[in-house]
Amino acid sequence: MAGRALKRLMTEYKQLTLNPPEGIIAGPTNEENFFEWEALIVGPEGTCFECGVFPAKLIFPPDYPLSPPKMQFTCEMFHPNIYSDGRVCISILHAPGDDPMGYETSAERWSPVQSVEKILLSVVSMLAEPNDESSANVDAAKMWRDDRDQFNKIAERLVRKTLNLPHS
Amino acid sequence: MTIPIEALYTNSRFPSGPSLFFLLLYTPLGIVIFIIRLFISLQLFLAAAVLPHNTVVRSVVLRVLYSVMGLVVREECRKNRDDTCRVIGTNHITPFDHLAVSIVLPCVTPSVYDLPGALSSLLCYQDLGVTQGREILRANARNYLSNPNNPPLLLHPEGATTSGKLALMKYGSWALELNGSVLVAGIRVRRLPILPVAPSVLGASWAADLCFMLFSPVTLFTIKYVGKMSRKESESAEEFGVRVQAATASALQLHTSNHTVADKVEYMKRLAREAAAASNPMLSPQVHRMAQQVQEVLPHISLDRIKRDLVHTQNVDLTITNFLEGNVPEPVPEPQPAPSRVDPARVSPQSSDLRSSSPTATPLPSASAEVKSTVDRGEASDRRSHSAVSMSTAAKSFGKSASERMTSFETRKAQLIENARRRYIEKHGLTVPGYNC
Repeated sequence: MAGRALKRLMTEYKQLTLNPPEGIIAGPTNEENFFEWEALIVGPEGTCFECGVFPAKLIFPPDYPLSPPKMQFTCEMFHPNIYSDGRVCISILHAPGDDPMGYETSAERWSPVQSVEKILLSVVSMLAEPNDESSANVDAAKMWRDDRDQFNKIAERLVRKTLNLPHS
Repeated sequence: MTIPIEALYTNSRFPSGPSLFFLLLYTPLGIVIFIIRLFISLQLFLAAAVLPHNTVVRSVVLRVLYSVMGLVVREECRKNRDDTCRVIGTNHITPFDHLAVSIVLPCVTPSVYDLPGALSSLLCYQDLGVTQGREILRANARNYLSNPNNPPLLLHPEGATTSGKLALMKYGSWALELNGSVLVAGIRVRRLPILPVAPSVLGASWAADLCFMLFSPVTLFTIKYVGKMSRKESESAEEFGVRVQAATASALQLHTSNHTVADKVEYMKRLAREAAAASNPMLSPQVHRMAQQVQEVLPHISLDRIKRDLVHTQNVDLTITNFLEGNVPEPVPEPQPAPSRVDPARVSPQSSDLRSSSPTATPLPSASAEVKSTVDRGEASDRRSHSAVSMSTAAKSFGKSASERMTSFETRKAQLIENARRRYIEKHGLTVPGYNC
C-alpha cells in the first residue's frame, strides 16, 4: 500500500516539478520521508494576499491517494477558512461522508482522482474568495464581512511578513 | 429450498467418467448408424410429405420414421389420459417433445419457426403467430381450439427447455387458461445409461439435438399422464399454474423452482458475456479491477491504456512502474481533452490569472494531457503580460537522484520568494536597500 502511495507521490512530484501552476511549488521537505511535503503558495494577484508567499506543510497518509492529505500553513494566517493553528478547511481535503463541520455541500470532495496540484489550486481560490459560510476563524470571517479595510490591513501585514519586508 | 438456476440445465452434451470411454468406443458405430438413419429418415420424410393428410398410411409412415430415428415413446399411467381435453400441458426437455407426444396422442404445437405449411403440419406445428406477441397468440389459439375437428394443442407452460433431471421451471399461466381443463402430463427423456448423451443442452440448436438423436442408439420418451386439471373458482391463474407445476413435478419426481423463461434468457446472456470476457482479456473483470488500482496511482492515464499494458504484465506494480518509467508506448495522439491537470470549472478566475504572465518558462509537456493546459497558459500570458517578474516554479528537468531533486527544490523555493518580493516591491514602489538599483 505504502509502495503505491510512494509511486503516486513521486508521479505527482515530478508533474509539479516540471509543469507547476503559476506561483505554486510543492515537494517533499526531505526525500527520506516522502509523506511530508512543503508547499509555497503565492497569494493571487488582485487580492489582499497578492505577492505573499505562504508556506504550508502537507502530511500524506500511508494509504494515499485513497485518503486525502492534511494541510496546514506554517506561517501566521488570518483568513475565514484557515484555523488559527494554520489548518486549512476546504472540502477537497475531506473524503465524501467525512464532514466534521457538517456544513459542506456536495462540493468537490477528496477522491483518488484529485491531486496535490488540485488541492493547492483550491487553496489559491480560497485565498482569493473566502467562503464566509464555513468559517474556521470566526474573527476573520466577521472582519471579512464587516470591516474589509481592517482585514486588508492585516493581510498586508502578513504578506510583508512572509516576504521578510519591514512593516509599513 | 431454492435451486440455483444453473442446476436446471445441462451444459455439456457428453458425460464424464467411464461413460466417456464407452462413448469413444461407440463413436464409429454411432457415425455409421447416424448416416444410415439419415438416409432412411429422409426418404420416409419425403414419403410422408407427399401422402395425404390424416390418413392411416401416413401416420404409419411417420411412426416408422420416428422409430428409425431411434425415438421410442412409452406411456405411463394411461388411466389418467383424457382425450376430451383440447389443451395438453407438459414440461419441456427437447425440441422434439411434441413429436413424441403426437405418436401416441395426435396433437399440434404452436410453431416457433417460420416453416412452409406442408412441412409445418408434417412436423405437427401449427402457425399461431408466436412471433407477433402474446395477445395474437392467445387469440389465434382460442380461434384454433374453437374448431372441434382440430387435434388438441400441446403447450409447454415452462416456455423453455430444462434438463428434466432436477426441477421444473415456473409454469406460465397463459397456456393453462386458454380453454377450460388441461390434460397435464410429464415428459422424461432417457438414453442408454451406458451412453448418456444429453438429449438437449443449453443453447444448442434443434439441428444439433437431432444429430445426436440419430447418433444415439435409442432415445426413450416416457409420457406420464397426470390427468385432467382445471382451474378452481377460488384460484387465480397463477395459483393454478403453481398447482399444475407441483403435480407434474411430483409425477416426475422432480423439484419445483421459481425460475422463469426470462431468468433462463438472462442466464444464457450472462454465460455469453462470461465467455466473451474469457476470450478477450481486456474485458475480464480481473483486469478491470487491477486497472482501477493502477488508475488510483496514475489517474491521468486512460483505463484503456492501463488495461492494454496489464494484459501483458498481469501485475499492478509492474504496470505502474512501466508507466512511470515511460516503458509504455504512447498511443496515437487523440484530440480529446484528456482529464487535464486542472479543471477550469473548478478553479476560480483568480487562480487562472495567477497562472498567467510567464512567456519564458513554459515547460515541455510530457504527455498529451499536458498539451492543452500549456496552450491555455500561452493564451493567458498573451492577455496579461504586464508583470515583469515570473512566478513560474517549473524546473527544466526532474533530477535522477534525491539530492539533485532536493537541491533543485530548495533553489526554486528561494527563487519564488525572491521573485514575489521583487514583484511586491515593484508594485508598491518601495525603497528597500539591495533591491533598487
